[in-house]
Amino acid sequence: MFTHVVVGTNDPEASARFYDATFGALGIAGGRSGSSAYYGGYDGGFFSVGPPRDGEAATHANGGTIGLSAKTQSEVDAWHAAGIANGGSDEGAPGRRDMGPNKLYGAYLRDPCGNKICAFTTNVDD
Amino acid sequence: MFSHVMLGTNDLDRAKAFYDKVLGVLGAREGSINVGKGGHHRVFYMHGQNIFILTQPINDEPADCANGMTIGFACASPEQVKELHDVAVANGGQSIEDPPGLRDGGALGPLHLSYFRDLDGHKICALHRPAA
Repeated sequence: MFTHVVVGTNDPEASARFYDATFGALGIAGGRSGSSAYYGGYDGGFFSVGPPRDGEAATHANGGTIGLSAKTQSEVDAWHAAGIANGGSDEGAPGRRDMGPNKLYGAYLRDPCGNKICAFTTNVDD
Repeated sequence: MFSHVMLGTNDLDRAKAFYDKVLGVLGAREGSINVGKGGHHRVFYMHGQNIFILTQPINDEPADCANGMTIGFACASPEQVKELHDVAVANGGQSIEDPPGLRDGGALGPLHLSYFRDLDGHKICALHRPAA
């Protein structure tokens, strides 16, 4: 369904450091294109963070969340810890977040610009 | 990479009617309404192993859109890129950037793209990348 998600930043270096660390925890490599950082690719989806093209300040959305797939619970844990250690803020500690019959384990962060992101795995330890 | 993307809306019924039509272009079924633990309503679309969700913000503040953010939806053909855009515009979306068409994506190669804003102002992109 999704090819890509782009989010804005007012501090490209801080955001790149945050996303280098958090995507690294998920085993996803990235790179740079000008003042933007990008992760993943066309085959599995890609994510990019950079200054808004309209030259205005980047803002985060109230009500919005970008969900990332993790392979294991320990990846979710590592993703959350990497975010906290690299300029992110906690928006929900790693833990079970089952939805109906679906067993889920996830965690939430805000990136340095305030964008709300989460990482979830369906590969849950019982 | 993505498990889901959630966008806030200030009018869930209107947003559902909009995305029912827009995502119908991709073959997604009508969204299903679900009530979260805090009583907030949201609409789920499941398609192509991803989940797209519209929600009333859980902090009860108004929903707004992020400057600098874009959500890209995968299209199966150049025609679908245009159709997604045209259906969005016909249902109250706003056409932005260049008209739907082929663009030079630099190192990414040629890309068929269209852009619009949804009823809450979220920036949406339709993308088809021809096989190399």
